[in-house]
Amino acid sequence: MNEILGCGIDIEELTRFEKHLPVQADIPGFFHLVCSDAEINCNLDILPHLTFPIGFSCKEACFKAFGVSWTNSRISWKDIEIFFNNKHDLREYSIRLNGYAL
Amino acid sequence: MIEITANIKAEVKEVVYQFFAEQCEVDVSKINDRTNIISDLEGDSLMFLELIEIFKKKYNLNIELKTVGKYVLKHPVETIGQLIDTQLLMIQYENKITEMD
Repeated sequence: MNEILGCGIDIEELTRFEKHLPVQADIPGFFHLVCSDAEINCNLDILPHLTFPIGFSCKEACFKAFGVSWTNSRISWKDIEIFFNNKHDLREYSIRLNGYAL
Repeated sequence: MIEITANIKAEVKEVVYQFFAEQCEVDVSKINDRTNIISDLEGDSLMFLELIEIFKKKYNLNIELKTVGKYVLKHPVETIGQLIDTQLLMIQYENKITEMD
């Protein structure tokens, strides 16, 4: 039986990410800090100006659902991967947990 | 490993103060080493990450967030002074920062 372990909500201002957004295939270092290569490869093709900030916000929300942050737990940003599957509907995404997030 | 000089210390302090003054829209004169990042400035994790990226680029550092996270887990960063000290250690030891305990 699936059990709800926690609930996390996060809100981010898109404008704060403008300077970090990918320019074509050039990914600024910021997103390499928080995203795995698999996430970058997947999301780069799907509205990156939205998927990268939304992905960041989803990760923040996951930390909150776990009741921790990246600075007070062993869970790292790349332990929570967000993959967008449909460029026509960004509500369709999957979350893959790895490492200490499992 | 980079040797931390008085110039680097001053530079890091200047960057951190200016960064928070700009991001949090406060006068830089209102910030000191005892200023609490969350309760006084309403700072957040995005700001912390941006600062790490700024110093990574500036000093060409080889450091992963996982390593920073491990270090900060044992050495919490609440004030501007603690953040500056952590950034200096990151610059000096990069990914070996956790071996400094």
